[in-house]
Amino acid sequence: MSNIRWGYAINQWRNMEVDLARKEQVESALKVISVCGFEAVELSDCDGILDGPENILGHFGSPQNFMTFLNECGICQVSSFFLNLGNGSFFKGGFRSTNSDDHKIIIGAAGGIAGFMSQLGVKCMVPRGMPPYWKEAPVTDEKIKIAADCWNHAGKATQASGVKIAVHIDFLNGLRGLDSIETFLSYTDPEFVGLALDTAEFTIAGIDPVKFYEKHHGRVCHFHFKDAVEKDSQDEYKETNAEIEYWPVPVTLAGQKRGIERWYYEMGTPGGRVDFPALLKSLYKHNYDGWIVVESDQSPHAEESVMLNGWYRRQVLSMIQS
Amino acid sequence: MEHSVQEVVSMQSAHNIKWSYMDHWSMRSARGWVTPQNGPAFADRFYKAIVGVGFQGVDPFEFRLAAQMQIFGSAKAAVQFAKDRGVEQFVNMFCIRYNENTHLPETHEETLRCFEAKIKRFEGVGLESYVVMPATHYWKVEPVSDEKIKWMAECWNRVGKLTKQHGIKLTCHHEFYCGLHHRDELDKFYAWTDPEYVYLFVDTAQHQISGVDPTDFYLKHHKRVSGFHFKDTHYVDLAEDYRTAPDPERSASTTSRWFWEMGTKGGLVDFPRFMKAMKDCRYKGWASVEHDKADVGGNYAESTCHTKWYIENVLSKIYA
Repeated sequence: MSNIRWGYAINQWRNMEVDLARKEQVESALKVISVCGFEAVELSDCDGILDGPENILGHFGSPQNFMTFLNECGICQVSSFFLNLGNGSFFKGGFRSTNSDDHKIIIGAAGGIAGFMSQLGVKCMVPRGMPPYWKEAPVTDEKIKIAADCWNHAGKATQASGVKIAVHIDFLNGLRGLDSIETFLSYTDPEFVGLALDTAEFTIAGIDPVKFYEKHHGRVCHFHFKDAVEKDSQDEYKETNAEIEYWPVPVTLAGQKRGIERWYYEMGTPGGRVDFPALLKSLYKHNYDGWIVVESDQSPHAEESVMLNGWYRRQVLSMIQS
Repeated sequence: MEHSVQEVVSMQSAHNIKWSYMDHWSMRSARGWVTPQNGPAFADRFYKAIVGVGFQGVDPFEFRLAAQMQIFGSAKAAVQFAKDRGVEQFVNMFCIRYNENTHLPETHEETLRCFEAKIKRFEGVGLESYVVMPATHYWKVEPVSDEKIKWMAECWNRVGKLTKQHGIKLTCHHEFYCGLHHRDELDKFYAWTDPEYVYLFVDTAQHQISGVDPTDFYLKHHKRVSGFHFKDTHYVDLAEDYRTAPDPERSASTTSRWFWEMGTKGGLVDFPRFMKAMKDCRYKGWASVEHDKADVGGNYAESTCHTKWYIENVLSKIYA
């Protein structure tokens, strides 16, 4: 029997330094998420005053106070925490999952953050598997093995708090492409490491998310639902500066030469490539038990995106029977 | 627990109140901020957004509905497009383009003819009511006399009788700057209009700005009330802005934004008390949310989500 719960990522509200910088901005976003029918929020380490233990404690005083704040906005818990850990971000110390010397620090950080996040209801932490492809290439079997080792140990560290590592695959990351992902899965322990299947990222990278889930459903423990209308048909992920570091969020330059300003779209967007009904049927078939977090990063209008995704879930996906 | 669309509809139909949304909407596009009337793709986004956050009906402006009918080719096609996206119906149409000088009897024949044309034009939409501002700007009417109010009443009695023959209620919405501003002027108007033909559409913010307690006013006239605009204000007009020419909404001295969504800091309308009054009067039917000027320092999507959040988390616990 499947047990699917719906959350929404708050990251789309955080594009500028002044975003999600005040409690009332957070309150506004949470109420929008709640009233559009989503019960939980996914946080990330880019999300302003919600970007991790230090800021949450600083602004709210305690995990309990923060949970009260969430509940008063109509949000029951934090579903998951997305973090730039081990992907070489110099804002996070530059540590890389592909460098064994960095593992101790990454694993320690993972365990510490998980301990805090578990108090907010978090059941999985979502790091990117590696640094961006253009920085990590060539991505060899050996590098994948080293990264897998990193996440195996990080997964053990987070499991102590009841939190699982769900490695996020995205089209600009070193860990991308079906062969690399399957190699990574073969080197990781299913008990400690799962995957976060982001429907748009898979689609842009040329991987059919439904077929992938049918084959690897036992390893997928988290979802990001968003749509895509374009594929990376020109191998733009390989280009220098396909993604650059920036604060508060990385900047995607891939696609801009051919006029792509936005890769990600709301579910149900005309021309959208993701077959969400088919994927949801597959989730029910395989008794998926976990969160689907809808994401609309790169949205030009955060509130409208949540409303459109709320419509699609209520009017289209609710017709899919478990 | 996830509910199917059928279950949700069934639950909503068990409620006394259905919520409709007054279309002032604007959205971002490659050509800047646009309204849903800029083409089918924009209408599609609007309806999905509104239904997505839980509204069941849409209240159009007359000119916006007319544009939709042009885009889709007919009233029937425009309605079907909305229904296909989960909108139950177009409920109240806010009328424009008629001679608002109803205190002048020589305008009445023209107004009657104008509404005959509207009835013909919007036949088949399935509207419940036409919403009108029953008097023109206060500064154009003053001094407001009993005689002028009686002429206004006479005009709308005739129009209301006409619309009723076509199954549509004629209902009056009182902008704070219209020629019926003070409580005694309002009460006289409703005393001199026929309850069978002229209904009242209570706009919580407009009355609050005028210094008329919306709850007290509703309680006195609740049998005449056919609908509401739920919106808030942060200001009472203490400087006689309602008399400002040419347009107190845009050129008044107090503020450039009179209207706010429910639930904001500084909001003056006591919505829980108002909702309790609706419960006491056992109101059944549509209630509308209106955001007017939400794009002054904000945007419609955000205001709409916040107000629906307020409905679900505060008002519906009092009466639903």
